[in-house]
Amino acid sequence: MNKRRLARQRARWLIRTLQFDQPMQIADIGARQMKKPPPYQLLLELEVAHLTGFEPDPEACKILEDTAPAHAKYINKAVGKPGPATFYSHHIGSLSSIFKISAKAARYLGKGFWAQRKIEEVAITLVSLDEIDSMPKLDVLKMDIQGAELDVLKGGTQTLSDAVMIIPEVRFYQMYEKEPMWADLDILMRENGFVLHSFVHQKSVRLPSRVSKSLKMNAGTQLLDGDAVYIPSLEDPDKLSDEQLKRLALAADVITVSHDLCLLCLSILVDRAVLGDNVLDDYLTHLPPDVLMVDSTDKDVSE
Amino acid sequence: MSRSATDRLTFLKRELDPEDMKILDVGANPINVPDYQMLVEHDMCHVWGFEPNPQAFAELEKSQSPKATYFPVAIGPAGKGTFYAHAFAVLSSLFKIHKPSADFLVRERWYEKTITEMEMDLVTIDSLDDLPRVDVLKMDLQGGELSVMQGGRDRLSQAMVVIPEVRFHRMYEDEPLWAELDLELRDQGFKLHKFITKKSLPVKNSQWRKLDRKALGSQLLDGDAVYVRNLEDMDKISSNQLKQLTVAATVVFESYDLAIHCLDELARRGDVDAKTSAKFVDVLPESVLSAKAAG
Repeated sequence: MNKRRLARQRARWLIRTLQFDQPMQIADIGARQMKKPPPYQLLLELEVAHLTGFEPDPEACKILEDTAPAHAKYINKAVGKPGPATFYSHHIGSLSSIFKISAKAARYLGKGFWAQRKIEEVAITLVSLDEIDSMPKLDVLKMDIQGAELDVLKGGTQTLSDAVMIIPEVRFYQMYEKEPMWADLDILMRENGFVLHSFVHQKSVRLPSRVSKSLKMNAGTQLLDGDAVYIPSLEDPDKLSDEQLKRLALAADVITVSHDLCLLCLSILVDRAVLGDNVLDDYLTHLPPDVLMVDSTDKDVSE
Repeated sequence: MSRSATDRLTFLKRELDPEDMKILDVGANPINVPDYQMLVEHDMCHVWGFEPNPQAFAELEKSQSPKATYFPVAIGPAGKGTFYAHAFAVLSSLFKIHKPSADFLVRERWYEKTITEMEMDLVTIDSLDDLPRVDVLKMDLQGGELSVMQGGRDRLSQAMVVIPEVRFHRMYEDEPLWAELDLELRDQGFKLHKFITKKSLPVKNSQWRKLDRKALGSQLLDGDAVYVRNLEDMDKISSNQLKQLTVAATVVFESYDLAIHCLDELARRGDVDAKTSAKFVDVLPESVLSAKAAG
């Protein structure tokens, strides 16, 4: 069976086994449609999750509303530090931000065109997650908003108090003036009890030179940004409720394909007698063969 | 034409005639071959190293060369400190293993092995009179990287490259993590360029014996990063600095786009021939060439 079908089957089995009392709540801030579907897509398709998407660009928001799956709603607002702000609307929609592109950085990265075309300045009002009345408590939050991720976290303490997975876009090379960088975000996340788990994506650019076209595009080495995955620290699992562990188990399997993390959550739920003993072995039967030990008596000999 | 790493280094040696690269290696452990080994073999660098572990220091002394200087001292915040010498030498640190992390990552042996506490005097890089301003800093000292940076603002003021080990998930008690180090590096004018390695481990679960650990580790632990001095204001960078960066980018961390970026600037300044960048492409591995250049 191919991996995608297997993943779908495994997710269905997990959903049946875990028996959620409420749908999962996912928010996607900066929800604009990209080439690849969002990493939580399968959870919407299997109707186990509800989505609240935010997209400040009216046109991009309209496209989302017109093609919205079941249980998805979109809000044409920008989330950030509450109050008036300037939105730098870029002709390349995904570069629009409440921060201004740094012309020097763009030049260094060989992306001079980022700063050449006129960037329209739009006065907008930012809202925080906590002040939106209809906002449910979130289980999963994904953000791709070009530098404003830190402000969203600061204004979402209530909304995110039980969250099990936060996926911010993180910047490695400063491309907007005064934008917070990955380190600033990481420090706040850790203060809130989260740890970096993995990256679902990392992007590097090819630095410019007169012969740069002689190199393949993927020979570019300068890290620009990526999507990082944060989870609550599991060093002290007692702090997580049964429901949180169930939600993290499903998110770990579907969103980050972290089978070991999913198994950790399931193991704790078995220890708590929330799930039956057989669940762990059943989960293994749903995994692709290439992640299983050929001979499970193999000793681990690594450092 | 041959396109080996030696060809690239020979090419740069001829075209740039660079000064010996001044490399500072903090936490040099002889079990690892350093990324800059090729420069040692071609007599193109001088290495300053520190090794507080007596056994590891004895190993280094054996290979004593005129182009290497080692000190049996530990770098850290100036003053008294405790060094936790670990049975696995690579885990020795100025910080103590954090037990809940080791348990979470199924690495109980991190704290089960013998750990010997040694009181020692710690010194900063800037306090060492015999140490010049260096071009490249490599460090792997299990959490002590931040204090190296903080105590080296003068000796690192001209450096073009810093290659630190960075921690993503806590492993030692109270160790600074990647983010705190990143803030200090950026404050000193460096920018994250790339990761050379990233290591993930499986997290503890009751089924781990049945899982292929190599295929399944999902929790990021640490890695080796490359930081490069901010190049947005080229005027602030000397030609010698550009040459050192070109050589390091080519043979130490294989960022050929960055190397060519520097060669272009050297050509613009008239330090190298205008055709140097194009000729350099001829010694790059086929695997990085576009169809245009390969054809």
